[in-house]
Amino acid sequence: MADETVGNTLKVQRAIQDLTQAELAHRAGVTRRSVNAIETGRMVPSVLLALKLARALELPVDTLFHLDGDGAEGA
Amino acid sequence: MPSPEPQTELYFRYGQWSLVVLLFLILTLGVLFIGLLFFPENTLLQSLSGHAPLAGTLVIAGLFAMQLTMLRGARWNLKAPEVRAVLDDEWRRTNMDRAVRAAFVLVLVAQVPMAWVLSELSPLYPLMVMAIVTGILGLSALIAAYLVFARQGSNGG
Repeated sequence: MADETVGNTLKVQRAIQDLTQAELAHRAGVTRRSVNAIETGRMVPSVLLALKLARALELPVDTLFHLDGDGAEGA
Repeated sequence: MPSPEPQTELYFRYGQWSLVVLLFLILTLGVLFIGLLFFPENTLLQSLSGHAPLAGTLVIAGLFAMQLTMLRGARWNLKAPEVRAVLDDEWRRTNMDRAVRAAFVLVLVAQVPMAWVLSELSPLYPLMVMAIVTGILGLSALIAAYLVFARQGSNGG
């Protein structure tokens, strides 16, 4: 099986909407630490949290999260 | 204009500091208890254990004062959305899972030297002492590891 990881554009999308980590965290109902951990790639969020973040940013979830790695092209 | 500090941050920080106080309390009581088990005649330890109820009262009062100041008058209400956000936070849960694993490994590894030390010192109830020391070690390691992991993730804006 290929080495695949979950990448995200959270930081970029947050910057586009001019939101701080704390503001996004408040909208999604989590702490700023979670947002920071996801943005820096230290944590892969659950489906629930991914959907909450997508809702908070009013974006489709696959705009925020995508597969990185060897098999990502065929995914 | 900078946005005001979210309430979630206050609750998060209060939770962290409560754990620091709890860790200090467990370590203090643990060291005192273990000391008394091995050296029951020690006058300093006896004197310190005599002050334990007063110290306990002071710690509870301190925690209450900490809540009043850190939460700026708000209460630790489990139904409040800000408190739920802190308790259900995935990064917190991830760190807690990592801390549980680290504490478990530490407790397992510590059994061998602990058994050796206890066989050398031969206290009155070696199994009870081993169980209590394991409990104190496990709890302290769990809280300490969690605090370290949580601190690693507190950077960034």
